[in-house]
Amino acid sequence: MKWIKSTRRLNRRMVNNLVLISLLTLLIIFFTAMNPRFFSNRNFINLVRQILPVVLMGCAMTFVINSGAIDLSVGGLMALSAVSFAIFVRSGAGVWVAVLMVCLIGVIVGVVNTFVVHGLKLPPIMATMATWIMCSGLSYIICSSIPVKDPRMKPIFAINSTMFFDKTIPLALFIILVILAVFIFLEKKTPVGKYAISIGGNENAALLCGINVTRMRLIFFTLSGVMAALSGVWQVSRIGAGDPNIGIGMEFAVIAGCILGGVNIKGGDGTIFGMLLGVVILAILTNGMNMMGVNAFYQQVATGIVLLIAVFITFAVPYLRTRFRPAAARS
Amino acid sequence: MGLTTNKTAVSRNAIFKLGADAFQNLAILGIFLVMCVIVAIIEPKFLSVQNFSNIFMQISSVVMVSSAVTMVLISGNLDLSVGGVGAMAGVLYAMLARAGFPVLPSALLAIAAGGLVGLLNGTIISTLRLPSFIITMATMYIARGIAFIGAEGAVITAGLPGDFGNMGQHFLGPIPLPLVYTFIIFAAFIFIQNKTLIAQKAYAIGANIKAAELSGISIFKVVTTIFTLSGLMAAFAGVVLTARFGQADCKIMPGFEVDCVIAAVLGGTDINGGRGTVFGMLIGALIVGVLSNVLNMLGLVLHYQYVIKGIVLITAIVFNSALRKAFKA
Repeated sequence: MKWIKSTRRLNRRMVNNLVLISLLTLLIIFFTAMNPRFFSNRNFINLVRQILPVVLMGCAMTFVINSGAIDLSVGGLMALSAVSFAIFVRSGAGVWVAVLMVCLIGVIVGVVNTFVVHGLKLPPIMATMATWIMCSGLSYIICSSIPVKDPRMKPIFAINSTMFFDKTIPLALFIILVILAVFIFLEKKTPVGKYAISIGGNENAALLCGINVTRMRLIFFTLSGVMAALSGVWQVSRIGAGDPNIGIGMEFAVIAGCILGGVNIKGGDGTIFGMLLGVVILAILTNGMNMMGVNAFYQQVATGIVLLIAVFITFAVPYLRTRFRPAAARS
Repeated sequence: MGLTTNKTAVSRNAIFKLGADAFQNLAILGIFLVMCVIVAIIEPKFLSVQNFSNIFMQISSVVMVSSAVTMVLISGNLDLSVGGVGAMAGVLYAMLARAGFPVLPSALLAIAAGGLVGLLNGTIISTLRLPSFIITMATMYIARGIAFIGAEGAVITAGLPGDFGNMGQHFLGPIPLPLVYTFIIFAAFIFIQNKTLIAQKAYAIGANIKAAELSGISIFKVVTTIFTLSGLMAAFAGVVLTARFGQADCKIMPGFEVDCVIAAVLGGTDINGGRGTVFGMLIGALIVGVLSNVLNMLGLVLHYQYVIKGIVLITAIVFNSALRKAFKA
């Protein structure tokens, strides 16, 4: 009997993912029908380059949200790291040294977040909101609101423009695959992923089981910080300057992608693969609407509606099951 | 044993004879006054009527909306859509006025639209028990999107009737109208918080939603009403701002929702719900207003304010938690 119950639980997530994959396929077919150039190599390259920061931050964000917290500071951190990177390079540091230094900034912000949440006992939403405002403000201050450009930044632009296989596959795709591989490994083969789910499920129980919640959260927030920092550098390589306006609104795109992908905002449930599906669907939605010539503002409305539907499916369906079919839901 | 009295509230602070909330409000007020004294020493120009008037005008929108947002926070929810709703209402107001409707009905319709968004928020959150953070984030996107679409991404300046700006630019005697509105709304919410049953229910829901539900409180009615009020206030603030500027900018009130939450939290509202006061929110908004004002006078660029705001937010929450613990101990 037990294995029947366990397959039923597995099936819920599998069904969730299958629904997302079918939605993805439908969207691709729909948009290609609307504009055949949607399915072109050039659009694919564009899409991959656009998606990279969201996937990077989404991977780390999945762990953070799984553990019951949230990290709203990623957008501000992107801006801070973008501007800092440009300033480091302008002050003479080598490009790759600057990347490392920027990752260090990400680590520091992650440590600060953890300290504020666990040391000062603030709720993660407030703590990371505060860090977000501070990082964003700092990024404007250190560059006096002027985007920073410098010819020595050229090597980093190559990361954006490098392509393989006769200009069909961008380097971005490989970066995404590597990061995904690392994070899926972390999720499935190391305690990191499992402990995130346990902490999110019931923080006190996890603590009593011997999980060092503070240390795990430190790992999650630091990962989130580093990913945000790297995303900031990526954006610099795309737009060619360290602009403090980078990353505005990113945190919501990342969180929306996670939610759409089945990550439970209250914690305790969610996978990297699901997050990937969610992020890709949202990106394709935006990209496809662009291709159709849909007004950018209607796109924002559409994103909001999609988010509502996603939350509805994740939450309301199980809740309504408990209200109207208690026997089935008790399984 | 007989009845056990509430020792913490009565005997511990017999000198004050105050409840926990009043004690906290007094403490925050004290800190605010100390801050004002320090600022006056650093920058004597702070102590002018014109300056105070400026500060009050600056914080008027936040106080208007945050009165309602404080109630939302007390009930354990979050309303992130207020900025978007304000922008949407401003744009709607301009569009209706431009289309030839008289100014007052246009304003009322725009405000009603905001109330509708609030109603939507409240209904979804209370019936489906979805996390308010995500739902209001989504409605924020949608409302902002509508504002962008209506104003075509820019500003509506042409074709507006002459009395478009009356709501925001005229005076009642020596006092600008926006301040009058703010005062009325603030007083109304103080009344609501202290004297109405719905506010008591909101506190109960914020403290323990399951217990509140089992006690017979209709979560649906309370939460929906509170969110509708929040939407109405946000729309009203958006309309007043639009009238003040004489044009509808679809980008107004960026980050407004964060400002409202900061004001409420600074004033002692617990982010998890269950406690907080509207009066405390006013002090919180004043603290932020005075800080911004003094930073401006010192010539520090706008973005320093963000950093300061973040630090103040953290400090305020830590301080409030410490106050609560000291009160109980």
